[in-house]
Amino acid sequence: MPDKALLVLEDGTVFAGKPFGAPARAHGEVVFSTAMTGYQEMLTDPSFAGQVLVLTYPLAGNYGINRGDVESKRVQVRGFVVHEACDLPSHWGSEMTLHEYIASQDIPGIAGVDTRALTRRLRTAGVMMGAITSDESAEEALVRLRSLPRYGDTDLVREVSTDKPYEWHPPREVRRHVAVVDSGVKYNILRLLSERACRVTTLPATASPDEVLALKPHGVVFSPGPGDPAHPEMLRTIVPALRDLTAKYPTMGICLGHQVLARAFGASTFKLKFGHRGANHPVKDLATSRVHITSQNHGYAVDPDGLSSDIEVSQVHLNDGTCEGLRHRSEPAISIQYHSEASPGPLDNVYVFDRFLEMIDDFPRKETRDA
Amino acid sequence: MPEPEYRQATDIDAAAIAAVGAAVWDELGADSGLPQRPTSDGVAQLLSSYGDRGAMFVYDNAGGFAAVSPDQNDPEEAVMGVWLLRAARRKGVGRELALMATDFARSAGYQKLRGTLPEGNEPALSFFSDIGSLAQVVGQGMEYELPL
Repeated sequence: MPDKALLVLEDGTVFAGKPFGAPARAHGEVVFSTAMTGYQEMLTDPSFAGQVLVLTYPLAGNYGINRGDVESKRVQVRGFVVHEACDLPSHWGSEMTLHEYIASQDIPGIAGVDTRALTRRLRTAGVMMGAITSDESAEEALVRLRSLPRYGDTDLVREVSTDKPYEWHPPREVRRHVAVVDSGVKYNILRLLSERACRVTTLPATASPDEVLALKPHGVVFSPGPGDPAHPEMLRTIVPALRDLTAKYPTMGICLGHQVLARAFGASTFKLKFGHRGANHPVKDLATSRVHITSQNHGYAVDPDGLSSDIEVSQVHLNDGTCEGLRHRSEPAISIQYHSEASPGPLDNVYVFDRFLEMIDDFPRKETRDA
Repeated sequence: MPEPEYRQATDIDAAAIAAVGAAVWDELGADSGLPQRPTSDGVAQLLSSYGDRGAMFVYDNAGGFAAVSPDQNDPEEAVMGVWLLRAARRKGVGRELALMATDFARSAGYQKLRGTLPEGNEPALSFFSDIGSLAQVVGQGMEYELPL
């Protein structure tokens, strides 16, 4: 293991630190999360694909890594930047150290970085591409970085979506069947649906409306995921599929699924300067004026100008006023920008799943509607 | 063995400082961050020109020195550099000198220190990162800024 590593940002800013994890090079969009716990969930969240994750909280790895807290089948971040990576975790369920975990999946980390200064730079200049390296100079890394593909140009959904349909662990009692279109689904979405007596079938992000229809589900969830919702592949596949399915089934979009729903109904999306990533973002429900503390992980937001009059904004972010929820006025379709499944973060918002299932229960089956 | 002494330099240190500077210049040339190969007279002149706006600091066993020079364009900024003989590197000498220089700059009322780092000088980058600097690649080298 080399004794020094560098994080080089696209604007030339360089941070020196100590390498951990795999002694490999990595590049990606450098983003920060303000969540104080939940590093394992964040590392395995597919919405972080293509990104180098910085934690503002100064300590990671102190409770180790365990089998149960993964949110997907692998580490999804391309690199991990922390102030301190704990080598001696203390937790009854810990099976390995953070270093061992990311090293086992060939992901490099860098510790000893002044993550406050790094976060201030990202807040001031906006998120940007960056590279972790330990075998080249900062100048060499910068030249290389500037020749690599940019985050928004990459079809990251293809990288994280399932190749084939699969069923999540079935509940003891099945009362509903939910199809989940996987653009980068987190396991906790599947867990929470299963806990609510749902048979859950997960489909590739490229699934056509006919493939969903063939399952005869009671409802459809469009999952979170990485990348630009205006990527040409998104506009070609998921956006028209959602528009089509919204007329047939109760539909819920989460995070990227929310952005897809917005685009399907005429809105546009835009890139936030430094995104919303953390576990304490305040969101106001406009119908009840109630404020919810939410878990968030997104770099793009919905611009509701242009939205069809069939859709209304239902929730807003109290820090910057961005759109956090949509509701169809006449069809059973809702979406949320934040992560109601938490993991990490507060479980205050799992009620959204209950609301979705109420929509399903109140909705006459397609066969009934057609009759 | 006596503890090494770090202190603010005076005229009598000019020759020792020039010797360290000359050795670093011979090793690195323009990448040393020095404007030219220093001489005793040149160092003595520089020290007297500083008044209370600049200073040099030395490690008494003649291993290295640090300098804080006023920025001619910005009264709130100063330029800091640290130069060490090979034998004095990776022993904490540079850190001690830089911390003395930083304390001086802070007490002199400066808001920011800045300086250059030669290309590929990762130990220097690590050192300046450790004391809170933000470094940036500029062409074939790096510049750092240290808010005070």
